[in-house]
Amino acid sequence: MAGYNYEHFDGYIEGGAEAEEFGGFTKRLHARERAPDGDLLTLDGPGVRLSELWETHGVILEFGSFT
Amino acid sequence: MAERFPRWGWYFVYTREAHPGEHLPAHRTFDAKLAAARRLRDEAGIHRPILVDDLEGTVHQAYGLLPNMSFVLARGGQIIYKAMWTSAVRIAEYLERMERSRGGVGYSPFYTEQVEVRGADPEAFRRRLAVNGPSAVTEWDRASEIWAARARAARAVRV
Repeated sequence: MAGYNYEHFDGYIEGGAEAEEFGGFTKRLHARERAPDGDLLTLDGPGVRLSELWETHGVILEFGSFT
Repeated sequence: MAERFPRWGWYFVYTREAHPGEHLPAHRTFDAKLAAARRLRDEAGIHRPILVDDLEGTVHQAYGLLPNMSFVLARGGQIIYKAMWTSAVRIAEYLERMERSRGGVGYSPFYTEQVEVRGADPEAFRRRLAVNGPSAVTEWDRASEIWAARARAARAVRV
C-alpha cells in the first residue's frame, strides 16, 4: 500500500517512480484510443462506472489531490 | 467551465495525496481518503462531482499516475485530448473548437501531438504545500535538489 500512497515526496522522487510515470505518459493511451473503464465512488452517492458517464455525453476528467 | 460547456460531464478524480504532510498525511484507509476528499470539496471549493478512486489507485494507475493530468473523452469513451498537467484555459480553447465543429460541414478531425508550457508561481505553490504540513515543504525542497542533481548529471554526460 505504501508503494502507491507514498508518505514522503522526496523518497518517491529519489526512488525513480516519478520519472517512470512521466516518461510513460507519452507512450500509452493515445488520442483515438478507448479510455480505460473503472469504478469510482461519489462523495454523497453510489459508486459510478466511468463508462456510464461517457455513455451519453463527453467527459472531462481532471485527476488531482489537495495540492 | 461546466456552465460554459454544459454538454460535457465535468469530474474531478481524487487520487493519492501528491504532497503528504503532517496536516494531510498519505491515505492509510479508504475512510481517510474519503474524509480528505470531502475536505477538498469543502475547503478548495470544487463544485464538480468528485469521484474517489480506491485506496490502491486503480483508475489513477490505468490513466497514468500523474498528479494533475486531464483527459477529454468523447461520448463512447474515445480519448480526444490528454495532458500531463491540467490547464483550464487549454481545455476551454479545445472545447470551443470542438463545439464550433459540431455542425460537421467544413470540418474534419486530425491527430496532433504537441509540447505545451505552463506558468509557475513557486511561492504560491509553497504556500499550498504548507497547508499540508511543514514536511511537505521540506520534502519538496529536497526533491528539487534531486532534480537539479539529475539535470547536472545529464548535462555532464552530454558534454
